Amino acid sequence: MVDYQELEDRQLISRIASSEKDALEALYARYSSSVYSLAMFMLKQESLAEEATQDVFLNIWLKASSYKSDRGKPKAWIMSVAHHKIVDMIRSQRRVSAATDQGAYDTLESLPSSRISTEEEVERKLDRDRIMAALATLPPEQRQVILLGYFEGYSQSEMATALQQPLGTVKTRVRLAMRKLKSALEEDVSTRPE
Amino acid sequence: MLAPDPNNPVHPYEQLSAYALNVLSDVEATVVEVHLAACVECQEAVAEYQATAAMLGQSVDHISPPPALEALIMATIPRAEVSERPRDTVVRARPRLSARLTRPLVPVAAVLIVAMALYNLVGYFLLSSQLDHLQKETAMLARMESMTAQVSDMTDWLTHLRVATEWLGPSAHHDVIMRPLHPSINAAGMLLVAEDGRRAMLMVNGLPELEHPSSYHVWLARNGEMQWAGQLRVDALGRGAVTIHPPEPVFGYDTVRLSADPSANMSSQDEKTGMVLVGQILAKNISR
Repeated sequence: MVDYQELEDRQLISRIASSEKDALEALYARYSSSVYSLAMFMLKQESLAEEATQDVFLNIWLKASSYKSDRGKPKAWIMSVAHHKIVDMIRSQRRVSAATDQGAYDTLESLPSSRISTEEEVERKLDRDRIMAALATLPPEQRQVILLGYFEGYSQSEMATALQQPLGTVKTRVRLAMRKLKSALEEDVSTRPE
Repeated sequence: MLAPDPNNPVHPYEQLSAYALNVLSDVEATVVEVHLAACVECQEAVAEYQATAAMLGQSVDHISPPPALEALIMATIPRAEVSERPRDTVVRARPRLSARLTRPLVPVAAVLIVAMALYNLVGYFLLSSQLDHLQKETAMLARMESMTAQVSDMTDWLTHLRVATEWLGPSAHHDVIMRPLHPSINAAGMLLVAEDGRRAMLMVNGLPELEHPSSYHVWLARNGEMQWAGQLRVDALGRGAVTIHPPEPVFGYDTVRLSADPSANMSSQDEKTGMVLVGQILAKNISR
């Protein structure tokens, strides 16, 4: 008898690729909150967030065999699938949804708390603090393109238009910002007490 | 820092972080994906950036999805692919009814009345259950049909990407970017030319889907003379790809062009020639 809750993410994805529905249920239990929360933050409507979450896990069911463990961690892959789906929805809506209040970026805590365990909540709070600290190290114009690009679903050319900046400038900002963000997070991990 | 790969020298280093952040245009993202399929170094770099992007995604305050959502998702998964589970023992009403019928002391009339009542009751529940089941099945089938169409489109697109990947693997290739002739259209194309110039693949994005039987046509031009090279259809997402086998190597032509059938009545095509996209086949592409 397989205890799916005990399996690692990679094993679950492998079993999903073999059409084991219980593996998908276990993966859903682990990541539905992350996917739904991101969808709510970006789409701002429960019905859209539910639709996005549904499509993300159906995509995972259909595309699990395309996941390659040497191309990144499962969490990054799942969040990438989720982000692509949410951005597709935002772009297909032609930005009908209201623009995110800039104030929300100051805290990224505009959403109500979840019914998750205290331990998980503490871990997520630490992650959130880490990412906020890393974002704070970026110059404002670099932070802006990260927030517009990731949380608003703007492409680089759309950002160039919105910010009235040359496309090359936006591309440079994105590149530098991602490099700094990655370094800041890696540095934070390496200096973190065990 | 990534080391240059002698077999795959054109690394899109500067676009990898933007790809992971999902801010590239569809055409740019496609080009990166084609490269990634054959480049381990860039795959690793993208994986690192995607981990950073995933942390951004997890930085929002967490809320749990509605409990009913999980059941909805699991119900949408194709029934044939669902793994088998041990079935609970079901206690059915019919054996008990049979047992009743065999009791010798129960008057026949009473048994018939009870049987009729039970039959109607069971029938009612069965019909209700079946009706409810059919409604769910219908909704699921409609959704599956839509998904199947999407998957079919994606499969076609991936097939083209796979062919392109084979060309872009160890051998050198030549690409020609195609841009719109009319400023009102936000589309682009890329012609990937094989080493010998005798095969090429055109991938486009952002073009409107034309109603059947209208389609797009690929042309190779030299000194004003146009050579028809192939026909192209675009899907509902604005994407299309076609492999062409020109009569002479592509490098002998000046430009590659894409036109729409006149019957398409596209406002964004050139009034005289019907052209939509054009790309210059430059000398530097040939000598690379």
